[in-house]
Amino acid sequence: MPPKRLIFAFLIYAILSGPIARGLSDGLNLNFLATLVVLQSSTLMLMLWLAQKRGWWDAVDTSTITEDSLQKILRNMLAGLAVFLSGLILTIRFGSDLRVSLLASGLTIAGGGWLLHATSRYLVWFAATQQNPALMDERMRANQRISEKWAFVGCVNTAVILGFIDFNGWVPLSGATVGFSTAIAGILAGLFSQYFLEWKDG
Amino acid sequence: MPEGLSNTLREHRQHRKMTQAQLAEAVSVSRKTINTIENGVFTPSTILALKLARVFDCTVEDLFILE
Repeated sequence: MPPKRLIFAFLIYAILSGPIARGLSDGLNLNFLATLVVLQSSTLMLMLWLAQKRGWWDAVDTSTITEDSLQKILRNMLAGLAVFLSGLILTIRFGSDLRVSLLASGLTIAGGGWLLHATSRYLVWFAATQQNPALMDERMRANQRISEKWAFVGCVNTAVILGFIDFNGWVPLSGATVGFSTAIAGILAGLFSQYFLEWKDG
Repeated sequence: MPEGLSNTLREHRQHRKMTQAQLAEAVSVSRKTINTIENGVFTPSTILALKLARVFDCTVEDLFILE
């Protein structure tokens, strides 16, 4: 279980995400949103720096983490994200049908819970790497660098494709749609490539 | 593994009757890393190569051969 201060810092991070998401959907002032994003990113950076400096990671129980845990955690994150996004798309697409809407909401909540659990396990895994450097050795760092590149490629490609679609007027897209899609594509590409590389080395 | 680079890590390990996990623990890396080095998938850093050579009490050139 991560220490309380770490949970508190993540809560601040999550709470700041709410107004950003709400602002994106309501089309709020861009300056206001940019300030929130900067605040949110600063909180995350400060939290990670403090966790490193104060040795909070050492207080985390990492006895359940083995060297094969990362692959399993990444698989769960991908699966959770896939279920979450499926539920979200179904909710938006078939929101008018009550039964489908209920099923889709259930899927979204289940996927979100799955993703949250996997993310908390990822944090525990990160804490384990601070206690045992062998869990994050040079091969895994090399894999991480490759997956960061794939995440960047995913972001750029998605932004270019969506920008091209909007530029040609095929489908009118808002900046929020492009930004959200780019972020999701980057996360998916990064997670999937890291999972694939770990699986390949397995 | 880059073209022309091979290694004798598996032979050295088996000669010492060590498992991949034991060797991994001796040089502070994961078992998967030892496996990928043995299979020629991953090229270790100089530091790791020197650590491996120290475990087997040999030179790096005995472990890694540029053909």
